Amino acid sequence: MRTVLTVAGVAVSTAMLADMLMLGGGIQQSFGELLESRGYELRVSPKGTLPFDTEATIPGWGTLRDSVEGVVGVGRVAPVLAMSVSAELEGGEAGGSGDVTRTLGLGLDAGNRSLYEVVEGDGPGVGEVLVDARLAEALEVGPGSRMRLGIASEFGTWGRSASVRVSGTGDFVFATARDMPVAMPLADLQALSGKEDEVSFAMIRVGADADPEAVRAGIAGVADRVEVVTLAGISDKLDERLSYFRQVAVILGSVSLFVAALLIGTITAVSVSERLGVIAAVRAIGVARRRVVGDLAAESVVLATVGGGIGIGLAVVVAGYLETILAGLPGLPVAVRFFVLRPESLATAYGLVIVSGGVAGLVPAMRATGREVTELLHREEP
Amino acid sequence: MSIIVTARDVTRDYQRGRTRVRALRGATVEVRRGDFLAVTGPSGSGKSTLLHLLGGVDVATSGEVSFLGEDLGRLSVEARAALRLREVGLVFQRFHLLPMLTAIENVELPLAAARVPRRERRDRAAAVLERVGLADRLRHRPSQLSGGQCQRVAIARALANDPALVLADEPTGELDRATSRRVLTLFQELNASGTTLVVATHDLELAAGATRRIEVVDGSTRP
Amino acid sequence: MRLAAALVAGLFHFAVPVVAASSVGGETGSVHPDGGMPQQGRVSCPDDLQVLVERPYAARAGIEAGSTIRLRSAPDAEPCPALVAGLFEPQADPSKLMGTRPRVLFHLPHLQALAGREGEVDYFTVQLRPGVDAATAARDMEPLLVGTQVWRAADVVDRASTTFRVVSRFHAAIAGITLVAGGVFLACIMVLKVQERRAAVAAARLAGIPRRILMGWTVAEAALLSALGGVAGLGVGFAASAAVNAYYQRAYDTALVFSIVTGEMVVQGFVLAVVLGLGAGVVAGARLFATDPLEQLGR
Ligand SMILES: Nc1ncnc2c1ncn2[C@@H]1O[C@H](COP(=O)(O)OP(=O)(O)OP(=O)(O)O)[C@@H](O)[C@H]1O
Ligand SMILES: [Mg+2]
Repeated sequence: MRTVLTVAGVAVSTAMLADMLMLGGGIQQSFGELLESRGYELRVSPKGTLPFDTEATIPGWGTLRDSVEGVVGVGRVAPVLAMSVSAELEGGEAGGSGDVTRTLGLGLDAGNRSLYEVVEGDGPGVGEVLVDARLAEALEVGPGSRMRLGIASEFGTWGRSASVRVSGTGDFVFATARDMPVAMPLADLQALSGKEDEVSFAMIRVGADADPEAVRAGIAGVADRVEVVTLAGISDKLDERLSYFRQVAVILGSVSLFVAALLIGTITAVSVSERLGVIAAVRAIGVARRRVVGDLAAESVVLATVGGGIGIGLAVVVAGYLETILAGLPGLPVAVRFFVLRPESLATAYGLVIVSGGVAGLVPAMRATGREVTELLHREEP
Repeated sequence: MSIIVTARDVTRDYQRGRTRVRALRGATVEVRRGDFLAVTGPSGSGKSTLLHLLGGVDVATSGEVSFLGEDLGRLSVEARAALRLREVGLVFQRFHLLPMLTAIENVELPLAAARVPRRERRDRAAAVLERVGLADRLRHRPSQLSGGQCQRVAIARALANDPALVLADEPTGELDRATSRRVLTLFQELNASGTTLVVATHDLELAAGATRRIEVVDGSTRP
Repeated sequence: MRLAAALVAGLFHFAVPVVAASSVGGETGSVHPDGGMPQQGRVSCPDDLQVLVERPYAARAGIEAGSTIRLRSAPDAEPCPALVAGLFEPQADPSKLMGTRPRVLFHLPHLQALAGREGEVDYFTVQLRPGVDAATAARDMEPLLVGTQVWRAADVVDRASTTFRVVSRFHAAIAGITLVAGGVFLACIMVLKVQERRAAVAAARLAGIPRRILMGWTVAEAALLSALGGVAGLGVGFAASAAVNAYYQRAYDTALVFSIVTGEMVVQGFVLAVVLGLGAGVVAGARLFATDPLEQLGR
C-alpha cells in the first residue's frame, strides 16, 4: 500500500518535473526550428520590432532592397507585407454574404512559398489569394471561389477592396490560433493598402559560404534605419518575452523534485526504522556497512525508478493537456510548441528523480547503519 | 583442546547521555573448541554484553579479548566485521530474518557477503537447512514459518559460514517450552558434531543441557 | 495644458529608439470611421510640438521633462523637434505587458500633422448616457457609420486579456496536478502513521472500542494534519504571492498586480486541504481495519 502510494507520488512529481523541463526550453527550441525550417537566416524589420510584431512597415523598400542586395553574402531577398485584411465571400445576393472575417494578409514575392505549404490548388498569381486551410473550411471556399478583400485596421475596416480569386489553400507556418492568413502577390497587397513601396519585413537567405552574423553586420551597415536580426536573435527575443514560463518551470520543477525526494526519503526512513533489528543483526553477522547501505539505498532507487518510469509516461500525457491550454495564448504561431518532447528532458527528469531518490534513501540508510551495532541490538532485543 | 576465545578481566562502559553505565565490571571467560557453554544470570547483569565482546561485535573498555590468538581490541571495525563473517555465527532472540527473503536466501546471506560463488552458496545453504531439519521449507518466507522454524533458519544462518564459534543470545526467549526443547536438542546435536556454542539464557532447562555453565552477576562472572 | 491622447497608429522615431503612438481604450465603446485609405500626405512639423513620454522608458533613455527630442513619422522622414512637456505613468494594461515599445502622448492635431494624416483618426471612444445598453447602442450605431466597426469596451478588454485567461487556466491545471501529488503524499503519511500504531489500535479493538470510533479518530487526525498543513501552505502562499508581485512589478515596471490571494482562494485551499485529509484518513483507516486485530498483534 505505502509502496503503491509512494510510487504514485513519485510518478506525479516526476511527470511535473519532466513537463517543466520540457517547458523550460521547449518554446525556444520549437520556435527556433520553425524559423530555421524556412531556410532564411536573417530578418530585416522596422527598427525596434520583430516580424509580425506590429503593423509598422519599412518605407522606400525599392531603394533599400537595392542596397541590401549589394551586401556581400546576401543571397535571396524575400520581402513580406503583412497587414490585417477583411475577407468576405463573394456571390449570392447583393454581392456579398455579409460575413466579414478579419484576418492576416501576407503579400509575398512571386515564387516565395516559404511561409506556407500548399494543401490544395496552387500558389497565388496576380489577382489571386491562397487561403489558410482552416479559414477556407470555415468560409467554405476552395480553389476557384471568389472573395472580396479589404484592409482592416486594428479596430475597423477601410473602404477600398478588391475582388480576388482563390488559387488554393495552404498551411501557414506562422499562423496563430486567431490569425488564419491569406497570401497574395506583394504588389497586389501594396496596391490594395496604398503602401506602394513598403514592406513589413524581409527575409534574407545568406549565400552558401557566408557567415550569417557577418552578413547581418553588413546589412546593418548599409541600412541603419531597420532592424537586422539573426534567427537566434529572434528566438532570444521571444524567449525574453516568455521568460515567465521559464521561471515557472524552474520553480515548479525544483519543487517537484524536492517533493519526490521527500517522499522517497520519508518512506525509506520509516522502513529503515522498522527494520532496525534486522539491520543490526545483519551488521552483527559481519556484513559490511557499505553493503547494507547499498542495499537500502537500492530499494529507494527501485522506488524512484519505477515511480519515475510511470511518471515519464504520465508526463507525456500531461504535457499534451497543458499544451492544449497554452495553445490558446494569442499571437503565437500554432506550430510553436511549449512542451517539446525531447528525449533529453525526459532523460534528465528521470535521471534527476533516480539520483535524488537514491540520495534521499541514502541519508536514512547512513544514519541507521552509522549507529553502534550493540546499541541497535540493545534497543531491538528486549 | 584448543582455545577459541578468552576474555580476561574485561569491562564495558556505556555512555548514555551524561550517565555512564558499567555493563561489565571484570568478566573472565575461556571458550575451548567443542564447548557448549551456557551463560546465565539475572536480567541486566551483562550477559548480552559479554557475548558481544566474545564475538567481536563490540570491544571492551578495558581488559583483553583474544579470538583465535588475535587481540580484538586492536582490530579495526571492518577487520572485526570480516572476522565475524568468517568465524562467528550469531543467533538472536528475535531471529531477525529478512522478511522479503526465503529461508534459503536468508541462510545464503552471510555466504554472499563472504563472496562465496552462487552455486556453492545454494548447495551449502540447502545442506545447513537440512541439518536443522528444514529441508522441506527452503522456499518459505519467515511470515510463512512458525517461531521455532524461524529460529532454526536463524541457527542455519549462523552455521552457514562454518564458524569457529556460535553465539546465541536468548535463543528460546520467544519460543514455547516444547519448541525450546527442540532447539536445545538441535544445539546438543550440533555440539556433538563439533560446533562450539555459547548460549546466554534465562531458560534453566537450556542451561542445564549445556556442557558447562557460568553465571554473570552484576557485571562479573562466576564459574 | 490639455494633452489629448494621440490616436493615429504609426511609428515615431527619435534619436535611435522607437516610440509608437499610443492608443488609449475607451470607457464604453469605440467607433472606427471610414476614413478611406491612409495617405501619406505632406508632413509638416507642427510649431510648439509637445509630448508626454512614458516614465519607465524616459528613465531608461535619459529623457526628462524639459528635454528636447526629435520625432519622425517614418525612418526616412524629416525629424521634428519636440519638447517633452512631462512624463506619464503608463496605465496598468495587461496587453501592453509583453510589448517592449515605449509610448509617447501627443496633442491629436500634432500627431495628425506629423503623420500627414490631417482629419483622420484610427478610432474614437463614445461615452453612453447612463442606462443605455452598450450592445444595443453598438448595433444601432454601426449602420450610421459606414465602413466602421463598433466594439463594446468589454469586448476590447476581453480580447486584450486573453493571455491572462490562458495563463490562469494553465495555473489551474498545474494546481490540479499539485493537488493530486499533495493528496498522494498525505495518504502515504497517514498510512505510515496508522501502521506505526497498528498494535495499539488492535489492542483497542480487542478491548472493545468500536471500529467506528477508531475510524473517526484516524480520519479526524488526518483532517487535522492536513488542516495544519493547509494553514502553513496558506502562509507560504501569501509570502509567495507577495514575492511574485514584488518581482514582476519590478521586472515589468508596472503597477499591475500579478498575484492576488482572495478570501475565496483561502477558503478553497483550506477546504480542499481538509477534504484531502479526510480522504487520506479514510484510505488509511480502511487499510487499518481490513486486517484482523489478532493478526495485527502477532509478529
Ligand atoms: N548499548 C547500550 N547502551 C547503554 N546501556 C546499555 C547498552 N547495552 C547494554 N546496556 C546496559 O548494560 C547493562 C547490561 O546489559 P545486557 O544487555 O548485557 O544485560 P543482559 O544480562 O543481557 O540482560 P537481559 O537478560 O535482560 O538480556 C544493562 O544495564 C543495560 O541497560
Ligand atoms: Mg540480554
